[in-house]
Amino acid sequence: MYKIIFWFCFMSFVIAGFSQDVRLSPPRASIGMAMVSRDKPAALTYDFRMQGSEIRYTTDGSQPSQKSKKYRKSIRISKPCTVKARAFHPVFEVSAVAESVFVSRGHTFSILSATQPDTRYVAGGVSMLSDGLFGDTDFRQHYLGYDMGPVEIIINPDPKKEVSLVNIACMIRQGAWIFGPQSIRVFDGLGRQVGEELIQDAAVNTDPCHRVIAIKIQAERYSSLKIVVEPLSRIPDWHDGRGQPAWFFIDEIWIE
Amino acid sequence: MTRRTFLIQNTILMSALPFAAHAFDPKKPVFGHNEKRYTWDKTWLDVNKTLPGVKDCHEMVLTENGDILLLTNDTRNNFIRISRDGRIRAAYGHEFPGGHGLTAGGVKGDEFLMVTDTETHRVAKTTLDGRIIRTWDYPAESGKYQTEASFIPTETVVTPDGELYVADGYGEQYILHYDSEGHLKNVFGGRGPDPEHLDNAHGICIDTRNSLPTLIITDRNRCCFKRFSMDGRYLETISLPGANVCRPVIRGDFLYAAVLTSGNTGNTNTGFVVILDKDNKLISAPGGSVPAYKNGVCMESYQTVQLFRHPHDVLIDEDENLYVCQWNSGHVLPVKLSPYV
Repeated sequence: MYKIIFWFCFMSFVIAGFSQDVRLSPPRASIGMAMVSRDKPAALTYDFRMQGSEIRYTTDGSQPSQKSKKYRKSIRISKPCTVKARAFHPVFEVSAVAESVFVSRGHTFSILSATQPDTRYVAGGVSMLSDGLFGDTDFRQHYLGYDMGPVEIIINPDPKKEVSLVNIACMIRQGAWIFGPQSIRVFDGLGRQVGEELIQDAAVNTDPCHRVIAIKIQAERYSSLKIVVEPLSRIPDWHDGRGQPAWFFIDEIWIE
Repeated sequence: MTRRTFLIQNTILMSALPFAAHAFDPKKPVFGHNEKRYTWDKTWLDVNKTLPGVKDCHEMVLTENGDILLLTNDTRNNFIRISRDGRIRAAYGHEFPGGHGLTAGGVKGDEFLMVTDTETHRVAKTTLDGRIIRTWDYPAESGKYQTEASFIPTETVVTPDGELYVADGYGEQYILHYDSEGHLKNVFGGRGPDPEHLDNAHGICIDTRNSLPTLIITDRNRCCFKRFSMDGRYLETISLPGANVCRPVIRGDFLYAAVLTSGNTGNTNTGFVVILDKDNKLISAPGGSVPAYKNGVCMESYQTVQLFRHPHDVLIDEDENLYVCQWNSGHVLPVKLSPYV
């Protein structure tokens, strides 16, 4: 009994002493989002120069805990997955999650046309939307920026291959008035709607992130697809920009 | 287990505890590296008892009696005077809606403050209690400015002879050099890709660590400081990748600077502090990553602990305590770090 009481007191002291309200920053991942295939895998590395810290990660989408795998060297990724990593330290609070998303390379296609973005945010031009590369946290690079909709993008898939999924990647950085879209519709070459995704949480307060939106379409061979994106038309009341139209920043489209 | 064995075990464990506690130093997380390590003095200011208005905290100076004078862009009280033991002594001044740069000048008995205002596009010389003595509007005589709006001064420095340098860090990126009468005598810097150009010339100071005084000027968007001669000749670049440095602050042999954000200014809620030695080598980064060099080149620094949100200026008192004030950080007063011993 004494032993139990003692250990209880001892551990309470240790926990009280060690609990701190300064949180670690997330570890720095070399890749935020990338396309992978068996032939072209990606090498994910982490950087976190802090004495006494360690990085633990998962590849199944679960929250990394102190029991998760410890990061030691570059991780090879050849299949679509989400890698989540957090920094741990005996003195500081565990960090938020650093997330790296790996998606399938998908089919090749060409972009026929796209609505002209705001002249300040044209990056590498419309062809950048199918270059297999994603932007990072800087919206001035590798994103097309729009402050009004609809944003229409017409693509020409390979007519020999069936398409059932259209994916778009966009930035969410609400502090800079950049929100996810409120809807995406996909039409075939005859103008028939073949898929639709309504984004219910577009106006919800969200931490800055890179979001992938997948639109299921009727599985068919298409020679042409028109993707119509409606940016959030009205910034919600909780935001400084309330009532104004939101910005929409897109960096990649791919089809599967 | 008998009571006796329990007591013996207990004694051993308890005697080991102070050692273990010291080794882990559980109650005092340590920030920074090498000879510049600090603990966070949480008891210094009760931020919940913030009486004065605080919008963004921009810069600080030490007053003649060792108080900390803070400049905020809150016109309910642009100046907040805080004693070193954390008492708010006074809060005053309503003239600076864009109060940004705060520099002390003058000699004992004739001290003054230089304040830059990014909203009213002017530089002001004030008394220590914030009364405006003189102002400088946009330097039309330089031929570099067409309108008042393009002059957005962020910082000043005053030489012992009373000459003034103004850094137009949010405007056209020029450094404006005025003689002791307040007349414009030189203009250098400006936008552009070359080494002598600046991109967010956010701060300026006189480096007196070497026999020949020189200017150190912030190039924040390019994460570096640039050294210029007092007559505006570019001399060298001190690169600090990843560090969006604010103004340089020299104390003793060291150069200190608040780092607004890690990497680029889009990385909100990050930031740390950098400390460089006399050779301008990064030796400590409180709140940031362990300083590292590869083949003599400084490696990218970044935030590792969320101690700060957008640090904007640092101040070091005579006991080497480090005060950090922050921009857009939830209306908080400065954070105090004490040397780790």
